[in-house]
Amino acid sequence: MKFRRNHWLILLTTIVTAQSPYNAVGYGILMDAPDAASVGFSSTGLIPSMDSRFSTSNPTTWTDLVFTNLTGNYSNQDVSSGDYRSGFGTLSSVTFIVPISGKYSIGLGMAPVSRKIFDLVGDSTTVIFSGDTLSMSKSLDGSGGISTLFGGGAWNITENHAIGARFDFLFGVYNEHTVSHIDYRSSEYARRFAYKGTFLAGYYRFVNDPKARRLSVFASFQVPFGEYYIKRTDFFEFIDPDPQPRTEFVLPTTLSGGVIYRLLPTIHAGAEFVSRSFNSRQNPDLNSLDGNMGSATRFSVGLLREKVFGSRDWVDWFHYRVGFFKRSHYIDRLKDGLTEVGFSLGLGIPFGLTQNQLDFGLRVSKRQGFLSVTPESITQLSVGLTLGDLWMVKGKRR
Amino acid sequence: MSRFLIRVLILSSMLLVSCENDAFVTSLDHTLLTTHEASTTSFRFKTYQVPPTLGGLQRIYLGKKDGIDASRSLVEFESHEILQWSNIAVDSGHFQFTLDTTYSGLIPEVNTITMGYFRRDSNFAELESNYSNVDWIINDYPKLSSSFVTDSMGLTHLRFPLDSATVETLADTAEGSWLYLLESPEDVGYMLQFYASESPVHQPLLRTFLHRNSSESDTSESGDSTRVFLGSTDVTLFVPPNLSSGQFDSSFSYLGVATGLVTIVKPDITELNIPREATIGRAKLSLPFDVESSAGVALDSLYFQAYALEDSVSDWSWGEVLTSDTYEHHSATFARSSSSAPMGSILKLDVTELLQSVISGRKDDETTIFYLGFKLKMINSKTIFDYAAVRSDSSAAGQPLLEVFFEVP
Repeated sequence: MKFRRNHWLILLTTIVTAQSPYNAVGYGILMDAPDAASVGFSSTGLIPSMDSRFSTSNPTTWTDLVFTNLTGNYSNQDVSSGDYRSGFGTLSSVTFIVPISGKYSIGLGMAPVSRKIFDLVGDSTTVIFSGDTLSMSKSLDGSGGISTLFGGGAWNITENHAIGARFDFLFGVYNEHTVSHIDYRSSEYARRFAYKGTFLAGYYRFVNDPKARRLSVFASFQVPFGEYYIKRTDFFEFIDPDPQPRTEFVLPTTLSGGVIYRLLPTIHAGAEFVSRSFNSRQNPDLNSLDGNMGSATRFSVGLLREKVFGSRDWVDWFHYRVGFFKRSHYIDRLKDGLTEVGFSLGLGIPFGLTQNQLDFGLRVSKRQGFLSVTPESITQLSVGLTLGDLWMVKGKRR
Repeated sequence: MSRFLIRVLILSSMLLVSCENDAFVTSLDHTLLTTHEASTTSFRFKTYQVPPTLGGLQRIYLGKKDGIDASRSLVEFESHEILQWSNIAVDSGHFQFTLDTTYSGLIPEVNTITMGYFRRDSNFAELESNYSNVDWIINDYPKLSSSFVTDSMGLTHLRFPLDSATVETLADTAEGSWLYLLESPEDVGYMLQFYASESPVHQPLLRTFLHRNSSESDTSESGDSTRVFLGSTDVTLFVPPNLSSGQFDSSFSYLGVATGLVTIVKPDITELNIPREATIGRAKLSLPFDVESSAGVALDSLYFQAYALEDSVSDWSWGEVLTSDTYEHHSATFARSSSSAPMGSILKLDVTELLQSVISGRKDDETTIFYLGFKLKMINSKTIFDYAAVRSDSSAAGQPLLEVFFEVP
């Protein structure tokens, strides 16, 4: 039963991204942001993007909520490069947040961390053996990835300072399947990787003016914590599965910083910087294709125009977002890195009295790297629905 | 259901999946799969001899050739109990064996070929009986004499005439059916070939001439008629020359059908360092033959096959003579090689599946296939008297060689 429940969770958070050959290296492409609002703002979720104060990913922003909040996001990603095209989409993340007295907050959720979805075909070759010409070809596909089940909380120490913590339990399964054809024979191999690990992240928020919120500064530091390992099992066609000894689940340390600044009463500018580095070399067994794991950086800027309360002009009823980002991914080959540049657009539609909101985020980017001459074009569309409720908020007795 | 739960369900209904996937073409040369080539010339050979068990052939042999004694063949016919019916009176009959039209050898003028008959023993089995396991044949039994006749079609038949009393005796199966033993003298200069019951034409037969008994109340006309009963099973009990008889050279390994010669070959695959999880892409076993020491029409008409052994070989000495084949082999398709005939004087057998099975320890009918060596058998030849000699040393023709192309994940 436990096994089935885990698979349901994996299904919910695993099949979220289009396949890319880069997913065959390391842990695959690490996800940027799981929610539609952050997608539209080009951020990773450290700085607020739902409005100028709230992000589902940063616990220090949760204390500003009035209502208990449930958010779900759907993502669809399309990757194309030359004649190659791939697309996939489904529910990507869920977050449940409970603010407590405007001073504390707790929340939990689930989100994808990385994906290893790919389908590769190698060129056919021939080899002369003992006077025979043997034709050889291979195909390689992968599915699965790493997801996180997180819980966090925050505390407004003072009106200006808030701190938060987030604990991520990383889990996931990745299946790699290789089919090799040698002349009339074909053979199949498979490897299954089961990931387990934990992250601990600390968050800090500073607001210079708690009422006007002209400037808010955010920082977070995420480190691997506790026990983290990978269990690999090799599968062969004719012999029994061969469980391998546990290997190290090399996890990165991530430092993030960001600001959001009120330019005009309803217009806010945000900037965010993320630096990620792996403390040790990656276990090469994880690679389906050759590649190295190193450090990664990400920079983004965005503009947010918030809803104008009380306006009769329908244009003022929505949140508008636009953003730009540039990132270098953590995987490379022979110093030939993988970079991505893109921009985004977003729209938030608040409705109801309990801070409900429907968000749309569209991000278009180009990814240039070591596996293909033609850059990959990536289009991601995310839709998020946030529902507020008085659930767990004590009401007045009549 | 609470409003909150309904909202959760609505959220879950967003699990809309849209997908479109093409495979990405890239170089997969650097994947974890690596290909390797390995070969070995280190071999062990063992030639041994078993009684040839050759029931179910399309021919019945009788005589002696190249030291192979085929002076006895066991034959069974369809039941002829019907001849015991009271309204049938048997006049006479004969057993008939038709000589193969391709036979061009000597036909004995003074016919000394006989056919005895006795009650069938329960141990008789067409596909299992051979000269070493028919000690149930009794010493004293009635024998029929024979003569050769040529019919208007030009076919030569060996006939054993029967009088009515003998036919009636043979029709009486109350104490069991009859088994017939076709016999020739031991030292003869011929090896006759007759069509057997497996042949599509001219099978052995028992032809009876009879008429219907007329009674006072029977107003129907009585008339002569003929009734034919075909042969149902037959096996020639070949007795090959003993391996130690001097006819065979112990420096070669031999393979033959009527000679009962089998060779076990064991390449040293530890030299190849193939891991258990490897996939064999192609494995080829090359064996040079010695034309001079082989006996046959042409080597390229002989077909061979290799099998995985079930039992280990403890005695690798040349020339063991066994009363039954104790070195049993697996019969699954993946536990044997494809069949092949030599090209020139080199036999190249594709042992890919066979080697894969022993490397990976695949299971055949719940039994793990271990690497105990390969049993080489001649499975087809122009005549069953052919045998071939395998060279185990290096010569101008080459040397025994196992080449393997494999992939390691």
